[in-house]
Amino acid sequence: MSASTLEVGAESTFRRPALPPVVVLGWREARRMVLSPVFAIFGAMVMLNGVGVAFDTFPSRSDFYEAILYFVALYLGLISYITAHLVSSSARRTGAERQCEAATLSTRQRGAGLSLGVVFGPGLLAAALVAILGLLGNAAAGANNGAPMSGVELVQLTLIVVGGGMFGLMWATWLRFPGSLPLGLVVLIVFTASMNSPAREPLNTWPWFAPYIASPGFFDGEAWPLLGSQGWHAAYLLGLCGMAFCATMLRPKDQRGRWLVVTGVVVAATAVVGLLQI
Amino acid sequence: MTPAAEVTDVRRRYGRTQALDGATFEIGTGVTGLLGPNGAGKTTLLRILATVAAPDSGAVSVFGRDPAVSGDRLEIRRRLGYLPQDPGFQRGFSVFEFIDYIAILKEMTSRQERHAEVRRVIDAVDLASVSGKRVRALSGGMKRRTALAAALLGDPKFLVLDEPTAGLDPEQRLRFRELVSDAGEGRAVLLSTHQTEDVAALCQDVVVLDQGRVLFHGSPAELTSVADGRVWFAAERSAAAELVWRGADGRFRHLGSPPAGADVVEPTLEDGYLLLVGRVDEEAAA
Repeated sequence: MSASTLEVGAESTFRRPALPPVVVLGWREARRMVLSPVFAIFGAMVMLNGVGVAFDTFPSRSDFYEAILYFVALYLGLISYITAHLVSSSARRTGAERQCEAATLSTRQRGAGLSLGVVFGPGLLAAALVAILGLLGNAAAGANNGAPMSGVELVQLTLIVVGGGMFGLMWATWLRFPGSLPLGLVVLIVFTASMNSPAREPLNTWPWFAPYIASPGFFDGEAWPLLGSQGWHAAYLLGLCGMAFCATMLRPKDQRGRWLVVTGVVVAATAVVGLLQI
Repeated sequence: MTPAAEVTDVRRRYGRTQALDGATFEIGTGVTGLLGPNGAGKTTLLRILATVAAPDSGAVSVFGRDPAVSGDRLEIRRRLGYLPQDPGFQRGFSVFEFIDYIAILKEMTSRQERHAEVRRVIDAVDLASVSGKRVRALSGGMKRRTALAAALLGDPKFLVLDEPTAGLDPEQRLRFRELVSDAGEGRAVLLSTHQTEDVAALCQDVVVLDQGRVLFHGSPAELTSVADGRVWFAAERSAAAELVWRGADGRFRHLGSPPAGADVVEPTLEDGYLLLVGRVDEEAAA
């Protein structure tokens, strides 16, 4: 019953890619996220609402805060979370993970691709959206009342949308069960509401630690406060994005030590800027 | 020159189940069939060879490289095509989009070259007419061909196919045989299946796995010869047989030790396989 064993060469047709595959994957994932019905429909609603306010009769600055803060930060941030979670968990939910497992890109690289997808997709779209709404708002409200929106504020809004997506990826990567998405949504909302609660003392401290600050009053009086609270708050939001990214990268067991060190640095930096923003 | 894959004394346990219990064999170019009853450890073995699972103990080598080493695993995957037992597809992806997505995961970054390669494998599995359709709207056979196309991306030197013909109608199975036969030219193909006809038609080499152990490794003719002189027809059911079933002509086909004067016939590969696995099961029961 012995079989003759033939031999084969181990040559591969593989050629080193011109672009990092993770970047190409990032653009593909970005496309999936932006074209997902959840994101496309609600993104269009945010845009339409903003334009509607801009062309309203004598809009005030607070109208724009309502349009931009509420719709972009609150809704688009949560929509970004939902979209990223759905895209990230789709391979597991549909069984496509079985084909992806044996591909050349590792689980960690696929996670990095998804993270880039959040930046390239919801992130860039949110940046464009807030820039357009900000320009419209400043142009219209400048003659009316209030100071123009600062660039840092627009960056913060973009980071809230990116952060929502990064949180969605992290949550889907670690909590791989059917109720994971709504559970994450509840956690996100409860944490944000808790930080913004009027019952918390001191009142002007805790909201800074929330990913989304409810009161527009925090933004008054600082046009380009790069080194002030607004700048540090933007850095804090970036730190939160970084922490969620690191948590996603920590899921695969190989080379975890290296990522633990990176995570430690990011957490420490976020803590520092978190304290500086108060 | 090394064998495409070598498995030496590989063991793998899932809880209380010993999925692989010291499996040892090696495979080269051409199509190698992997036969075995349900729970024999076939899928576990294929997942280990496809580098998506690791053995508890023992040695695995693919193209002379160790899948446990990160760098080696990457090199193996660059030469590997894997069709899992139950392939899944993301919602919303068309055939083209799904294969294109897998191509990106296989490091094909040049859009033009990647799209050309995706079209090549779609043509190879004869799905060009439905390449724009959602995968989830396709028939089971077309879905399997979509998954096979993804496995063929990048002209892999080692194809691992886990029950690719399960659930296919006869015509689709024949089409699949043609595809796998072509894929076996100059490549190593490991084909796990329950269909002994597929093995007889396609494979140059057969491995029979049962209870995590390799029972047999040889050519299809050698496996068939296990039943030489042990298959006979009779008008009545014989108690001496290990397995009996009534054939299309109304007579009983018996496998086992024939009585004197029995109408002994040429065995098939299925006869050899059934006798081999049946004997081991009896020994295990005893």
